[in-house]
Amino acid sequence: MSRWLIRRTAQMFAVVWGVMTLAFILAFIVPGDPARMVAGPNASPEAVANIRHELGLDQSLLTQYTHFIERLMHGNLGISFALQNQTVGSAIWRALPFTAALAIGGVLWEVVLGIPFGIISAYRPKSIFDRFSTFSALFGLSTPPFWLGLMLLYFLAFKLSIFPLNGVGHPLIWYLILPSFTLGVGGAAFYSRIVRTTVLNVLQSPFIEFAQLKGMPASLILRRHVIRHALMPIVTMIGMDLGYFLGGVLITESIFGIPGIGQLAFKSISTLDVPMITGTVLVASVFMVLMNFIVDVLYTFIDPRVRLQRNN
Amino acid sequence: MKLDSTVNRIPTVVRVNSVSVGFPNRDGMDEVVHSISFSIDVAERVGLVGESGSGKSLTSRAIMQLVPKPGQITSGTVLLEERNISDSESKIDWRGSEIAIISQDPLTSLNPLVKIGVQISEMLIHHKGMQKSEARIESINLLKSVGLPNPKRTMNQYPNSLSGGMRQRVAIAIAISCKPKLLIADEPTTALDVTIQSQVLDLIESISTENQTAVLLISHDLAVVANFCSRIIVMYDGRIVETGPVNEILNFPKHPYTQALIASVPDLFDTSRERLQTIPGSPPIAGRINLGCSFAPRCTHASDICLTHIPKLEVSSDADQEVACHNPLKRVSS
Repeated sequence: MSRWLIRRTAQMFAVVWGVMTLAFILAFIVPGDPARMVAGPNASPEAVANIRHELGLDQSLLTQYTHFIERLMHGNLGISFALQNQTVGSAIWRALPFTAALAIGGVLWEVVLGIPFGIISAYRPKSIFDRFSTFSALFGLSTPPFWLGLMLLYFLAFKLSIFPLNGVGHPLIWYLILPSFTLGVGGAAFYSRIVRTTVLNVLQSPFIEFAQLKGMPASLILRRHVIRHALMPIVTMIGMDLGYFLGGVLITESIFGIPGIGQLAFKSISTLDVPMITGTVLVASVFMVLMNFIVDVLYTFIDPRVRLQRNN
Repeated sequence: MKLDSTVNRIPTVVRVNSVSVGFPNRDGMDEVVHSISFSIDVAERVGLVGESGSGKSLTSRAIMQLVPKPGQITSGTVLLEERNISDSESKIDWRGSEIAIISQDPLTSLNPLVKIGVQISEMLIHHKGMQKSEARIESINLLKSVGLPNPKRTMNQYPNSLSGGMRQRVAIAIAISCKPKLLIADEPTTALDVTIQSQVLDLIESISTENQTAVLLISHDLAVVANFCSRIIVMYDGRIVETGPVNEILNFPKHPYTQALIASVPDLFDTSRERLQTIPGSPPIAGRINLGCSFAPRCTHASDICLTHIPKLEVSSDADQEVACHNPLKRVSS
C-alpha cells in the first residue's frame, strides 16, 4: 500500500510537470507577441522592445523556462502581464472561491438528482417513473448548458424575478443556485443512467438473492448490499467532475457573470498573458490529478479486493 | 391422498400442497413445476434429485416464497407447522430464520464488499433482535461451530480472502444462525472439490442431528443423496416421478427414469471398462404442454397409454414408495 502510494504520488508530480511544460511551450507557439499585447497597438517599436526586455521575453526560451520552473519551486506563479502589479497567485486566489462554490454546487445537483433517480429506476424498470427518468435524462444530456442557462435566467431571474439576474453577491449560495443547476444538469442525467445500470446489475447478483433468502428487509438490502456496489462508479464520476469543474467552467461562469477561474483563464489566453495562462493551467491540472488520486484512494476503502491487490 | 403420514407420529415441519410455478409468456403462463406435493418431518433428511432443469431449485424457491422473476407461484400452498406461509397476507418473518437456505453457488452468494461478520450478525440482529455486541459474540460462536479455524479473524475478513470451502462454511453458519426448522441445501457442494464436499456434507449432517433440523438436500448426485438422506424425491420435468425411503428407491426403483438415473452413476470400482450408461434422448423443454408422461419419449417401457395420459403419483403396493408410472418396474428379488 505504501509503495503504491509513493508510486502514485510520483506519477502525480510527473503529470503536473508535464502539463505545465506543455502550457508554457504552447503560450509561445501560438501566433502573436505578448509584448505587443501589453504595449498596445499604437506603441512604438522601441516601447515594445522595452517591455519585452522588462518581461524577460528577449531571453532564450530555455532560460525563460528555467526561470519559470525556479519560481514555481518557490511557490511563485509570477506577475501577470496584462494586469500590471498583480501576482498570478492573488488573481487565482480571488477567483477560486467562486469556481469552487460553483463546482461543489454543480456536483451536488448531479448527486442529489442523479442517484435517487437512478436507484428508483433500477428498482422499477420499465415503470412510468423509469420512462419519465429516461426521458428527463435524454433532455438533460442533450440540452446545451448555454441555452439552459439563458432560459433559466430569462424566465426565473428576469421574468419572475425569483433569482438574482447576474454576478455574485450575498448570500453567495443564492447567486449560485441557477449556475450550479446549469452546470450539474448534464451530469445528473449521466449519473442517473450509470446508477440505474449498476444497480440493475447488482440486483441480479446471487448475493442479493441470498440476502433476500436470509429474510433481510428490502431497505437494509438497499443500504448495505446494493448502494455499496454503486458507490464505485459514483465516486469515480464525482471525482472526475469535481476535478474538471474546479479547473474553471467558462460557459457557465460567462453566462451568469461569475468571476471564476474559467473567465480568468479565458481572458489570459486572449491577452497572451503567459504567466496567467500557465497559472490557471496549473490550477486545473493540479485539481484534476488530485481528484483522480483521491478517487483512487477511496477505491481501496470501498472495495476490499482493490485493497488486496495493492497490498501485494 | 395418503395415509401413512397421519399414522406417522413424527410431526411435519413443512408441507407442500400441489404447488405450481410458472413463467408468464405472451399468451398465458408456461408452467414449469406442476402441482408438486410432499412433506418433510422434523429432523428428517430428504433428497430432491433430478436432472438440470427438472425444477428442483424452483421447488426450493417456491418453499421460500421467492421464485426468481418473472416466475411466480401459480397455485398451491406451503405450510410451515400448520401455518400457511404462502398466504400473501401472512408476515414473512419466517424466511431465513425458520426456513433457511444454502445457495447453489457459495462463491457468489456472499457480498464481496461486506465483512463476513456483518453478513452473519445481520441475521441475528434482524431476526432475533440482538444488540450488535451480543450478535458479534454469537456470530463468532457460529463460525467456530462450522469449523472455521480462526473465527475472530474471519469476522473482519471479506469473502474474497476465504477459500471456496470456507465460504460455504460461512454460508452454512449464516443459514443456521437462527436455528431453522428446515434447512434447504441447494446443491451445496457443486462448486467445491471432492475432499471439501464430504466435509461440508458431514457438517450439515451433524448440524441436522444436533439441532433437530430437517434438511432438504437438492442434488443431481445420487451417491451424495444415498449417503445423506433417509428419503428421496425424484423429479423429472417439473413433476415428482418417484418418492420413497432411500434404500427402497436405490435398490428397487419402480420408475424407469429412476432406474436409468441409478444406472448412469459411475462405479469407481468397476474395472470392466464398459461405457458409462446414459439415458437416451434429452430432457424435455420445460413449460411445453404435454399430453402424456414426459419421460415416455426416452422410456424403454413406454406403452400407448404413456403417450396420452399423465401418470399420477400413487402409493405402490409393496412398500412405502410412491411412483408416477403406468408401467412401474416389478420388484426383482434375487
